[in-house]
Amino acid sequence: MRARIISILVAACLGAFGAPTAAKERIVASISDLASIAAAVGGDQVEVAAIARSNADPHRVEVLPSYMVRVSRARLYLKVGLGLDAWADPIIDGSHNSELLVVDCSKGVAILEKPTGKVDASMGDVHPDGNPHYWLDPRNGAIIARNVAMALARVDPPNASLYASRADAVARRCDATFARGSAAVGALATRDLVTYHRSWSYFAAAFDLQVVATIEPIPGIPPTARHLNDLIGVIQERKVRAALEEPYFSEDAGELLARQTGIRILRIPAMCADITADSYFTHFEQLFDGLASAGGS
Amino acid sequence: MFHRAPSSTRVIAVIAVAIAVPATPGRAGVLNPDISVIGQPFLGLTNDNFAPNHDRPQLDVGETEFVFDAALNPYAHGTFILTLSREGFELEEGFFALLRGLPLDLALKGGQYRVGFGRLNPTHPHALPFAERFDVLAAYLPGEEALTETGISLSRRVAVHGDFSLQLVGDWLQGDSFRIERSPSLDPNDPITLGGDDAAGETRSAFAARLSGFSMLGERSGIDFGVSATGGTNNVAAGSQTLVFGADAKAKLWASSNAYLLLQAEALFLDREDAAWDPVSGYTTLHVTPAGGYVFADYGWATRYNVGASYEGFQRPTTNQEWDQSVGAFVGYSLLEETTAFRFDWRRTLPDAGQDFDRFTLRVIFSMGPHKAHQF
Repeated sequence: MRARIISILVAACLGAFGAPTAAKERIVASISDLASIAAAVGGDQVEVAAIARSNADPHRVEVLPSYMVRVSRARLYLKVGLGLDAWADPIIDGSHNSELLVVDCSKGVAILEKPTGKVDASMGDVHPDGNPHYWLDPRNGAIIARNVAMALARVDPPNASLYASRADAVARRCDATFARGSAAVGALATRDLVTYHRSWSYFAAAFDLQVVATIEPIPGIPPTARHLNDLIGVIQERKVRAALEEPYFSEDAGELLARQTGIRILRIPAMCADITADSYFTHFEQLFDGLASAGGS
Repeated sequence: MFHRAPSSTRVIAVIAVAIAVPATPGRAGVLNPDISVIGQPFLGLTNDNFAPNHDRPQLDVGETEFVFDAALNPYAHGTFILTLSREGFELEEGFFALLRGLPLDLALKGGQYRVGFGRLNPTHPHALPFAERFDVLAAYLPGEEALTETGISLSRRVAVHGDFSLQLVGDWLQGDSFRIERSPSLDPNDPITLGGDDAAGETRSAFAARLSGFSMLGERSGIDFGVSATGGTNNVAAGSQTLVFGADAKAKLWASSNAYLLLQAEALFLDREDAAWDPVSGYTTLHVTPAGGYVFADYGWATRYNVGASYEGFQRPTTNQEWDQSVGAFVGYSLLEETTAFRFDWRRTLPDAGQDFDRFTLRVIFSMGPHKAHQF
């Protein structure tokens, strides 16, 4: 009789609370692109968040206590590395999370624009370890996905093969995005491009676009009147049709160039809009569409 | 014949050696600390008749900070901050911080550091949006300019709900900066007159504690509020105590991706026993309980410009408790964040007794070395 009562109670409890579900691995990423890829690789097994907002400058993020709280609950932290998100260090330190695994997602990426020789502040906001905006080459998205899958395998070994297969799926999608982008850029009237900052070097290199000038005279330094005047000459001479400018930069310089030369200023963030699994790829589609509309395919 | 070099010379020599010794190839930047040097020269002008340079412009190199900062191992971080001024070299801060691995997610800091009382005391002057600190902190808090002590600090941040979190900090301090030198009385039996020092060589532990809360306001804006307390013995022989209580709030409201409004206020209450000598009863104390505070608003835009206004009012920590007030305005311009920043202040002081006077300060802050992220 007693055994029967116990079994009824156990059954009632299971009915009330449902079957036990596995806790999700919490991942915090410095930027939305890493979070989006982590969402694609981690699927239902993970919960992701990003620190930097997609329309804000990822070089300058104020360290807020809320970020530390977020990271204190996380199992993985995905860093861009190469000095872009140095602000992540005080957030990670402030989280006091001894279980946290910090992943530098640049591992395995072929780094562009790594300075040779002495680097100092007279060169502006130069990253001594190379250009950190590597996620803007979709082929690097595949490398990031594999880095995330390996890290997830360490913290959640039972699902390692699942993460690996999802990373492969992300890699295939990255290849498809690269192919689509190559075709889209191939149809442009010109491959010449102006960018505000050196954020787009990987994007340009991936799709054989030529960044003929930057609106910033040197990284991190706003344009002077003289530099803009020189830029007008370059744009007119090379018949450049599009300029990529992140929304957090002042619009003034771009508007002047547009008025003087007719160049189309594409104010597009260098990071994807949100942390959903599709967002990383949707961002590239926006970029291809923007270039097509400006470049006259 | 050997003689000891003056302490400032020895510190310079140590720094010179630290900078000059080449790192093992391949390990540079791994084992070497980050080194930053921050210069803060200023040009000041005041018509305060009590100032030694009143009505004359004063150029001063100000206080130069040398910051050495590195991870010690995966769990701990070390920081040394030396300041160089006309008085020579001084160790302003030198502490280790155990950041992870402790039970209950506690963090431990030990060494000499600016005590986390309120919002302004732990902030180094170069990080402020204005050129001159408010006078109420120097008037109420122990220490010459800021409450800097040797001690051990335990802290814990607790997530409460959503983005709202609380932080509790408790400090056990050596207490030396609480000491106040007593002037001798006319009594020939006063221990000071007799060559004593009111047991100034003895130490009495002090404490500091802070509870603060932070919450996001929207995606990027935030509000932080806190209460602080610190207390210690200011005269060991008389057993007189200093207690300071504070309440503060800060809100940073982003109007756009590059423009923000910063509002900050702090109120302080001093409860201090000032030691005295009475020929009949021996040690006595005079009790002073003044209050005061400041408030300022700072609007920053385009990452390079800021403009703001301030008000400060506080009772002097004397038996008369005269009420001093000041109003001010400040403007700042940065070439590239604080690598090179210009800060200009005007402040008009309205003393309870005496003549109003103005102070103008133009400070240039130039920072060499790694640029750290800003903490809210």
